[in-house]
Amino acid sequence: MTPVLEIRDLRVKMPTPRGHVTVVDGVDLTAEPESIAGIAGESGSGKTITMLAVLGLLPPDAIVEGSARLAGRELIGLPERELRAVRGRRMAMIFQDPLASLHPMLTIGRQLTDHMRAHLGLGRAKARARAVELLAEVRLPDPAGMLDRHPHEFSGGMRQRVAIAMALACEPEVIIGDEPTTALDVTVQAGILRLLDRLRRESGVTVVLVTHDLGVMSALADTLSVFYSGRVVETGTAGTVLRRPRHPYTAGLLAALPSPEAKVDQGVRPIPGTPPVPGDRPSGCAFHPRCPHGVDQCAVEVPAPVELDDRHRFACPPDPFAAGRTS
Amino acid sequence: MTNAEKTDGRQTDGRRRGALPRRRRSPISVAFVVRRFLATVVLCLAVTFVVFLLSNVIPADPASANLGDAARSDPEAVAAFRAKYHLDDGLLTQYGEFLQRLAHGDLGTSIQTQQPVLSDLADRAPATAELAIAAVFMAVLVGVPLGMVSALKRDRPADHLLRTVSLTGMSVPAFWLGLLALQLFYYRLGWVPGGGRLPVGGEPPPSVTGMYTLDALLTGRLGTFTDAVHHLILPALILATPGIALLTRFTRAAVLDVISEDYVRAATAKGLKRSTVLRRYVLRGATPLVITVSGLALANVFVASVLVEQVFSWSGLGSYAYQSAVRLDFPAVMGACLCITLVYVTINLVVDVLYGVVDPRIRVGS
Ligand SMILES: Nc1ncnc2c1ncn2[C@@H]1O[C@H](COP(=O)(O)OP(=O)(O)O)[C@@H](O)[C@H]1O
Ligand SMILES: [Mg+2]
Repeated sequence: MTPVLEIRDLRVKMPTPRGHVTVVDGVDLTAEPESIAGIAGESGSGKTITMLAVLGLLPPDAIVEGSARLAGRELIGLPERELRAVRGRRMAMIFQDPLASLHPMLTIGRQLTDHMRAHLGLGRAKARARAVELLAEVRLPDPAGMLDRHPHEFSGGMRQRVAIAMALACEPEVIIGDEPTTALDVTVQAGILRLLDRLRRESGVTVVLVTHDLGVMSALADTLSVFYSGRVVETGTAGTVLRRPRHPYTAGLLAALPSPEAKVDQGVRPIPGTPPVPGDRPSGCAFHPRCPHGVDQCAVEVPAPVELDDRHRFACPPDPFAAGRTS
Repeated sequence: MTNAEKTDGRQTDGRRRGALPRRRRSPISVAFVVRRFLATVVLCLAVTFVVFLLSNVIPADPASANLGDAARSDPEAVAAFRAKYHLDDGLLTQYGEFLQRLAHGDLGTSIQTQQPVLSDLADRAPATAELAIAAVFMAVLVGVPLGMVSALKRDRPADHLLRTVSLTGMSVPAFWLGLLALQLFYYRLGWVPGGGRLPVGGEPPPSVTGMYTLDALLTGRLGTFTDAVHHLILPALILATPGIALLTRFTRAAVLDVISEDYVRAATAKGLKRSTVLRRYVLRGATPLVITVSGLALANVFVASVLVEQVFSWSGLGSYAYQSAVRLDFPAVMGACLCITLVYVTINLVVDVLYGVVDPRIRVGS
């Protein structure tokens, strides 16, 4: 199968008062059609920046290099006009905070229809009719009554459903969910994730799902990529990565999780130390100062990813969790 | 000064699904209107009292300011004048009488015009309203786009230029600017008339609103309309200048604030055109501030009109207040002050109500 979304060697340098700083450093990522591609990693590891770079949403003074293909078509470097035809139409994004990402003074109906009208050329009445269908599809009560109301009248979970309806509106091939449940009450998080999963099955949309929640990953995601300091340190099918992690950072994340998914017998304990800041990243493997398995070489060389048969890739040459080896 | 209050909007998710939140309330409550009305009454009392005190403690004599040379040296004429305007009664007695008359809607008789102050004010209000409305329209129509440009060209030459010019525009006194402008555009270039609302001998249009431009349009007198606009442009522009500067600066700040909001990025991520995002999302987000500052600009226009109307021989409330003050025409001064107070209060009220209209999260007076 050709991937819907294929990111190769993506590099992003963000402007800071002290010059440009590399925050995404050679990210590879593949999302197969109708799959959920999970992305995990501590905050500040470059997940959001990667997603924004793909949609061309970074500030103009950010430097983006590498490749991101949507169904084979290169997006990086595309002129604004052509990017606009992709955004919302072929690839939509759901943001972390549904209150902040909806305009407080515009009605739900207006925000739900304006891009449909722009992309699909629908008239007002048709767009509103479709908006009602969409709100029903994301299981919101009284869809028709919602159109003339404003975001503050609804709860966080309902607002995120509205945001999902907005993302679905033009039937995109890919929906990027950037921690879509992080800002929500735990009680409604599961509902939102189930909704995304159902939409993926029913409408065949590919979902790129960013979340810290490894439990969610094991339940929903088909593949999982683990970010650390702007690099993907491990990637593979979610089952493999979560059950047989090969990178010490992934293993550390799992060990820090009081969850049965952690098959590596390390007990429950947080990873010591703090994640690096982009401007001051350790040399070699950025994880080496926190790694219990480091060798001298780790501080010198940026580790090249090792690829196993089942498309399981990881960047840790010492490979402390290799089969038959105990750590 | 705003009574508006933001409801937080971050509600818990514990709410049962299916139970919809209540319908949006009307933006104004009865309690709010009552409270505002009482506050206005108190404010007017305070203003009249202060003005009353001030006009009585200044060491100047209304009789000598208003009587002719001959009468001024005639003790009997002076005494008659003082008796007529109750100038020899005690302060509190005078103030009490003033309030009593005020309660009956009587502001007294102007010393200089010999007309009831109320009818003087009514005669002159439309001229000032016309000038002020034109000035604020200009301020918004010019200031908001300039502020937007300044924000979008942040830290580039256009921005630096606009910021410098607007800072200057805010600090220059309008009447002085008016004098300069008359010197240039009237005496030197002859582009505009030298003052007044119509050419000398020009006949005002039949009165509908009292605003010449509007009345001329309503009654289809295009010639009069052109004349009136010609006379209106320069004084309105002069009065608009501080407002343009104010709006440029505040719109810039508001746009820079709003443009980094998540909802702007989300709108861009939907594939909307940049111009649509700017117009519908960014500018909309900046409207509350623009409304506040426009209200402020309008209030400032009324203050500035006192001198600017004088410069442009514009027979409105401003020049009336000016002339009454120089002639020590106390009843007229009181009336003008009361009138300006009411205008201020009204502007504030309108700003607060508009807040509730543009921002659905706000219920005015809650
Ligand atoms: N506008 C910006 N300018 C400069 N640096 C930024 C900017 N936004 C984010 N960064 C940096 O980029 C890194 C990655 O951020 P982000 O992609 O948001 O992380 P996350 O994985 O939590 O989504 C962070 O360390 C952050 O400091
Ligand atoms: Mg993020």
